[in-house]
Amino acid sequence: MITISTENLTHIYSPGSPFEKTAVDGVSFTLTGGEVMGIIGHTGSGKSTLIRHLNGLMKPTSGRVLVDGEDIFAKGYDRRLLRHRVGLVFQYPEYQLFDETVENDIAFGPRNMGCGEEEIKRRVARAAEFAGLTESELAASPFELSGGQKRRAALAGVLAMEPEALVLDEPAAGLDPISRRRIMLDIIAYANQTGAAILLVSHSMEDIAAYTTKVAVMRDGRFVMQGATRDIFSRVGELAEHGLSVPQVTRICAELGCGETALTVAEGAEAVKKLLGRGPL
Amino acid sequence: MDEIIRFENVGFTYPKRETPALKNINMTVGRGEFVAVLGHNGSGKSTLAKLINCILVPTEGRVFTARLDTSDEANTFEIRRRAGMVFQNPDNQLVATIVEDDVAFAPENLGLPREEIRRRVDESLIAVGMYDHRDHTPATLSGGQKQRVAIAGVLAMEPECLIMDEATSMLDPVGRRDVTAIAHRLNEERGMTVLCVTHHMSEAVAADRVIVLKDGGILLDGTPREVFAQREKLAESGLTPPQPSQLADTLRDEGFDIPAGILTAEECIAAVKALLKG
Repeated sequence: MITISTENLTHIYSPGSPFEKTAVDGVSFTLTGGEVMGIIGHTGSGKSTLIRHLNGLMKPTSGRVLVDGEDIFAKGYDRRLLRHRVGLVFQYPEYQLFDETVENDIAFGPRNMGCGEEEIKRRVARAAEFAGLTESELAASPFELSGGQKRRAALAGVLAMEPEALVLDEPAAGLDPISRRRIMLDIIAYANQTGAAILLVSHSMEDIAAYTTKVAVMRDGRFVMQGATRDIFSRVGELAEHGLSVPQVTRICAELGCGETALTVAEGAEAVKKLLGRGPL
Repeated sequence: MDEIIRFENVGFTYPKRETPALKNINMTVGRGEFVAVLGHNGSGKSTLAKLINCILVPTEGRVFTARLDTSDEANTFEIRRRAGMVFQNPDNQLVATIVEDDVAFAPENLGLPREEIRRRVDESLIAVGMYDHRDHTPATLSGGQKQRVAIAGVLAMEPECLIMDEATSMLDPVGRRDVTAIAHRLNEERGMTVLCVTHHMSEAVAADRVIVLKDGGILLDGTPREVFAQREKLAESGLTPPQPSQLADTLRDEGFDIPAGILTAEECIAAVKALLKG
């Protein structure tokens, strides 16, 4: 299983110029296959700059990015192969759909990797299954699809590379609640079945609470909080100091004095039932 | 209540499409109402918004905005002055290189005198809290700030109705909160009619009225409390109620005496506390 880590990763834009800006400031973390890590923080806190280092799109000003213990910026490191192993999904990835059919679009990645036709077919079928795309959706032009379908088609294009790690920037932005839930469940299913590592950047505290195993809070380029998801969301006051809220159900349970931190509506219902001290009537 | 928007048996089919995007829509929005329009992706929400200020005209039935028929081209200019629209993407609706020039675009087009343009631009920028940024270039602004400038551009026409077509969906929580707060202030202080198309249940909870579309038709229309109580119908339309409603509903389903129609965290906390005391 893949392990991605950073050691004191720092990125300074335009160093030495009047526009010098430290976007990422001494960030260290480790993410291993099977984990789903969330990064939360305000716009401009450095999240997007940070994740662009993880498959070598950006080079740190100082510090290191290690994949399976190897420095990805060391001389002779194969970063092309790295980009097959670590899939980056940007915001609104459907803007990058381009081919005549969804199927061709999904096949683009594996074809580019040099896979044979049989292997391409297998990968497209598997990616389509993960993303819940039907035969008719595969045959359609990407431009005939709805917003949710387009997003799933774009995700399938990345999954067809069969990455060992997926880094996603707001994968559900702009989708209706059901499409949102569906794409998140697709991503989690991929992680569970393949043992991939997931890094999820999102402003949705509900999604972060429901789907991640650990969370880092980013502010002014630094990781100011880092820990297990339940632990982070139990620190309501500290999150508020960083200008971040918790899901409403988490807040309801905290204010009612339920012992444990609730991350989902189902957990909240259990916690409140315990508080009321009796089972259903 | 005086009407500002009326849809009469409205249908709309995009060119070269077989299925209509909207069908048989009948509704009236009163002056001063704050209406949220919800629906799954592809339910027809944006089409509905675009029919209000003549970006689209109905292929069936009629739409009246400020009692003017949108199908009559002679009315287009006047309708667009009275009902201004803010779109989804903050990066493709500002046209000028300086914030105040962008806001001045519409009043200049209206052929207003110089002093009047100045007054409107200043007042509009103050209303959205962007006056201090008047001589900046839009490129340096955040998404939320760009949307506020876009709203100022609409306000400079002194319209009666503000339409927001997913204007907050590409914004972060801070930007969303700022833009939503401005829409509510304009509604409360100036009595401006606001119609916002959104995926965010929190925005719908704060509206006077919620309209839910499904497959091009109106599925639900009522106060947030009425609409979010219709769990099965909401699920049918790809929507989920806000978390406090879901939590209260789950407890009620299991036999606890929690009232129906809970929308906010505070209401949910109060209901559970009442049970603890009782």
